[in-house]
Amino acid sequence: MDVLGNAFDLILDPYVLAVVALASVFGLFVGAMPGLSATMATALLVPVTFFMPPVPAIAAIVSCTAMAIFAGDIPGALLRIPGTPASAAYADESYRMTKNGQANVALGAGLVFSILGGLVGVAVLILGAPVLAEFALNFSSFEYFWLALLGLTCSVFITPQSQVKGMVALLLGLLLSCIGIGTTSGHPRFTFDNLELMGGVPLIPALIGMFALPEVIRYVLSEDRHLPLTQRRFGKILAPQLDLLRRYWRGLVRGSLMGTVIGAMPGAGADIAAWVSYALSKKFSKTPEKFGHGHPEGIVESGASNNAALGGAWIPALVFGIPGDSITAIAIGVMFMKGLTPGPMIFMNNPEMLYGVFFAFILANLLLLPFGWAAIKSAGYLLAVPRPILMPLILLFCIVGAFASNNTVFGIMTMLALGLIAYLMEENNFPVAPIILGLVLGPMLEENFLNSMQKTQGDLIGFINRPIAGTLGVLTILLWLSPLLMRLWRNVRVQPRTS
Amino acid sequence: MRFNDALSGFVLLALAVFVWATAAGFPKLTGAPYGAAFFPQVLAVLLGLAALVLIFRGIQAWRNGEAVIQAGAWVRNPARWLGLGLIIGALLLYSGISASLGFHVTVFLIAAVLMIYLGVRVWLALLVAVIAAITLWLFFARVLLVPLPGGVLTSILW
Repeated sequence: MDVLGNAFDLILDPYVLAVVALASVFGLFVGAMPGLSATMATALLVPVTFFMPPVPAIAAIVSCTAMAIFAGDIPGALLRIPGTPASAAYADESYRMTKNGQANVALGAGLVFSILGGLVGVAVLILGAPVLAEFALNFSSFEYFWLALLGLTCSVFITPQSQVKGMVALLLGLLLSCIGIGTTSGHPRFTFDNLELMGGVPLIPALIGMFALPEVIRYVLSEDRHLPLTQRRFGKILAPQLDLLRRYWRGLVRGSLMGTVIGAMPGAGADIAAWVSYALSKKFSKTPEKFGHGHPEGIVESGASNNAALGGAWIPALVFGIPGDSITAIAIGVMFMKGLTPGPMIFMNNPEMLYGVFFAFILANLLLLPFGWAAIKSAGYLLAVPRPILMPLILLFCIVGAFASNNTVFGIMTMLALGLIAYLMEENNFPVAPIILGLVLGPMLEENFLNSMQKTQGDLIGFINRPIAGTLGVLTILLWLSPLLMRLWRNVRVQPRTS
Repeated sequence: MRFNDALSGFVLLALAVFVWATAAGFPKLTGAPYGAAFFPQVLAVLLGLAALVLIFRGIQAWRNGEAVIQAGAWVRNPARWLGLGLIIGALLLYSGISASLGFHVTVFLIAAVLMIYLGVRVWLALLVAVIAAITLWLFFARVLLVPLPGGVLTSILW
């Protein structure tokens, strides 16, 4: 109980509360801006958290993302442009509700069910993570190698466009992680005799470059910059939600649990959770024909799902150090910078800090109610912020953020280079999120492999003759073979019909 | 700007070959079965394989009539090229001269020029740029203690 009390004190510290409130407003604003994602909000926040102690730093990231994921619903409903990719699944539906004069219901559903889903995600995190951590204490470098590989494999397999392109992005991230003096070998790699590259690719400039700069470039190169706003005043936001809760509580439960599970899968985050839950909602609905014509059922389920995914994503991040999505990949990077190594040991060595993160999650979800309500009410003004003014300011923030982590212009050059690469990659349907997973997980993958090989003197058998490592290994390899197996299965099933 | 996958594939293949060749020069560790070169070389092989798949797909798409380069509408608009140049220029400018010119002046110039380019009225752009430079300075230099360069304004500010 002492731990809980200490953690409670940590989070109720006025400084932490002020940080959470500011990060929340920032998250709401960035999430509500079309084209600026929750990941971008996190990337821009990281240089500021760099100067904070661990608990407020993580609390800032947690509250900022929870707000941003909800706020993405606002332009989705009002402009049919999802503010973050996580709102894309039901942006069309909520826009139709706005057209039917039900913007208040659509946005209120997004808000209320985001909170409920978020709380379920946190509950699973709080209950599940310590149990898993106990189990993970038995893990050695062999198991961690497979876990890292499994996480990276998942991130490729969930690439919506092309898995080959997902793999290319992942490999580029892993190659970037090789730059610098390797911790195991001590030999400088791919540094081209550049002194600053010896320390490796700096994470913060890389994040800003990949997640923020491309949006500024895309905006400047876009031809259509005008956003017509349909509605500025709203009716009751919260009152209609009781009725929705009574009618669609099953969807809420299903969405929250599904979101948590998808969030916990490495590589899959809030956006995928929302798509899956929207599809499930339609599948199990009594009135699937209403979907697509301004029907709140899918919004309830996927709105709960995308916020639940945030909590879920922290489970593998805290227990194994394997990020569940690009946001937790950033958070893991921040934890490393703070000298905290995520993994089962953190549950023993820093329980206050851990419970601090849990409380931050609950706090963020509770704050979402008043903050989100205010954001909906002021949506008209929020969306009226002129983007020709906003975008140059974001560019300035990118510059200072990239500079501030190392106080050298090398950070800015890194940001520019990776920003241009990320822009070109996204234009050509290469996903960017696997790069960041590769960059963060690369050292873990390599070190665990090399350490394992030291233990067995180069004998690969160690990777399969331990029960847990063997299981994880078989799972990973099955996942690799799954496209091939699926194709064979389809051929076997199709052939009898055609012949 | 969209390139045919084969084009991306050739670039990635070249990168893979380069990584493999560079890694081949890394020293071997005595007594250790796998050295510094092992991990990058495995990645290079995988990247090379992925590149070959992209090349194969790209050539197929090209045979089916896909253009080698599909440029977006902005490519024919010199104003957009100017915008891209301004962004890249802003970052190079900051890297190059912020130390001597100082944070405020550099940031003011970048913000004002970009806003005016994007169509903000001149007086408003100048006003916002001044406020942005001062706010960012106060927040990062005074609150977070980032050593932002004072430049020509150093003597006035400190």
